[in-house]
Amino acid sequence: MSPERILLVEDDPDIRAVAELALGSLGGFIVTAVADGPAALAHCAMNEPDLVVLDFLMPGMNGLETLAAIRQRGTRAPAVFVTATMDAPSGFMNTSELGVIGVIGKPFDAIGLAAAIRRLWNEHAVDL
Amino acid sequence: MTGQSSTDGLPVERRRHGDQAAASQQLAAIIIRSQAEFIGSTDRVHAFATLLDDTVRFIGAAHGALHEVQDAAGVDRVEVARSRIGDTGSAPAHAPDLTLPLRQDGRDIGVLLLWRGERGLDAADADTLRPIAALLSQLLEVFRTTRQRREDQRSIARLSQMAQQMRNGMIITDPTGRIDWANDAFLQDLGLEAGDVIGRRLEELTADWQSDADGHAELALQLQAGLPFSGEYRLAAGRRPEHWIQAAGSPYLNADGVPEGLIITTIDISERRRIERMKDDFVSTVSHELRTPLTSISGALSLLEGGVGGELSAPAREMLSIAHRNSRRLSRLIDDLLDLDKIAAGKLRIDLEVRPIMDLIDDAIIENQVYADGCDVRIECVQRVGSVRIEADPQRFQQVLRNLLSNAVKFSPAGALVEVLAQAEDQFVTVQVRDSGTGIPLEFQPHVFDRFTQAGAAPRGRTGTGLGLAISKDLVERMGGQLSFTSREGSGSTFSLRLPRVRGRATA
Repeated sequence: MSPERILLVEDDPDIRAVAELALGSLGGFIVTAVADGPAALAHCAMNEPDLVVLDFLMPGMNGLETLAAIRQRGTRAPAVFVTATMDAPSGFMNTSELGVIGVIGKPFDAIGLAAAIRRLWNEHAVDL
Repeated sequence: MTGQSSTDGLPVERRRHGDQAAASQQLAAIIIRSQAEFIGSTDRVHAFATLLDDTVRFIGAAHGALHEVQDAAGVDRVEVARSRIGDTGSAPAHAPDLTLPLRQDGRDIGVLLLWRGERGLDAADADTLRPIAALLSQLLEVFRTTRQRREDQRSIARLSQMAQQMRNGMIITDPTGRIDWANDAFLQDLGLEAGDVIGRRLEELTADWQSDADGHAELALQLQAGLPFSGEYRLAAGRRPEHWIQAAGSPYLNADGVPEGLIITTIDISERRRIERMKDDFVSTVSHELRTPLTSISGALSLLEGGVGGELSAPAREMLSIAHRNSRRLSRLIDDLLDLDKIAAGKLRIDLEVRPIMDLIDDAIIENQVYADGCDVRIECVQRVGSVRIEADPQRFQQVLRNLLSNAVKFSPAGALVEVLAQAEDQFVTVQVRDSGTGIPLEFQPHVFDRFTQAGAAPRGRTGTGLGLAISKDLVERMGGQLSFTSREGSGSTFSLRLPRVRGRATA
């Protein structure tokens, strides 16, 4: 199985727009882009995405808190973090119980973003 | 025996006139101390007691003060000379009538030379004078030790005042590790009273000293073993919330070389640590803040380059590629700055994995191919090593090799070849990156691995951050390897990366 519907959680509107384009019309996914944790929760209450892509550092609920919250409400989709602080990954790569399949650093390669996410999916999502 | 009385009991003034009248009775004496600075001699005839007393004073007196001593003692003529035994250059012109050695505890401490005008001195005089010489020896010795003690006391007082008043803290323990003494700066620094400290065990005092690396563990061990230590420590129970001191302890030895305790000096470095932390926070905040806009800039540029906006004209594509290339450069600069900061703070993580070295080399070459193509330079691996494996952090190894390759390309002329050679030895694997470029000027070679340095020869538009090699060297060393180079100006450079080889069966 390969993912079709992606939930993108990113607080920076410009990055959100770039990533939405890179994953959506260019990458071939059906993307729902939201700006923060509560919006992600609201989306998951009504929908079941195949993959969640989250910014790690966000005001209010950060990426990890957002993921924990949607997991609590039953969303099982694997997650990929996007982060500008590459110190963080070691911290949340241990959270495999949260279904994190990878980390992509910022600035990311927008053209290759969809391919990078498919690669992570193929390498790790089967383990979950 | 006093300087103001004399054997004839005459007052000083009267005596002086009497002396002149009795010139034929003159007795002159000179004492030469082995190692002495002063020799006094006098032509006083009447009062040998006065002579002794005066002489002792001369020996103790400073050179410049001798004339005053002479006046006060009422001595008519005093000659002062610097001399040693056997050096008679400064003694009176004619040979002494009598020479008596001055000895103390079996040691020669000087010699007494005596003259007596016309009559001279004979053996009988010598017998009379010998006990006086002995007395004189004792006096000289007493005087010497007294003066020595006074000097010792003075230098001790000076040293202890210095230690007390210096701005660094200082404590001294006895051989059992109890604190004997602490200076004002130490007490003030730690907000303690002398009563809180003196007599306490050192371990109690340092129990809350925490270092960055291992907390208290190493310091405790060093103290237990009585070994020297130094480090920066946070005082968990310090006067301020972030109270840091730099402390160094070393044993102090007695005259026989036996340790008598520890001397520990401390400096309050709270302010420095606070500023360092601010700097660390600043660097990581700023780089995060920079990466956010950079993500949307480079993302947007790369999507445009990728054709999401439709077909672009050639000039538009060229402008886009310039903008995109430079956004990548900005990104690398931020990465380098962060790496450097992490290295300086000792926070850089190395995650070692066992990998086939050729996989890592091939990936690095592929990654640099686009850049090399842009410079019209070829990269080729001309010597391979099969399935040899190394233990390294793959990301960091790639980073180093990328850096070496991009440097080689950067300094190569158009049409040139950059060669990569892999070579396996028993314990190590060496990867060489060889270019036929401009080479590194001899005077620049010692600074190749310094930060923010670059030989000025890079062609326009191919500049770097000047941090790459500094970071690479550190990374390689952290992976247990070495990074070195050879270079001749005008005929290229070869950088060699050497890492430990992994033996035994491949594991998954």
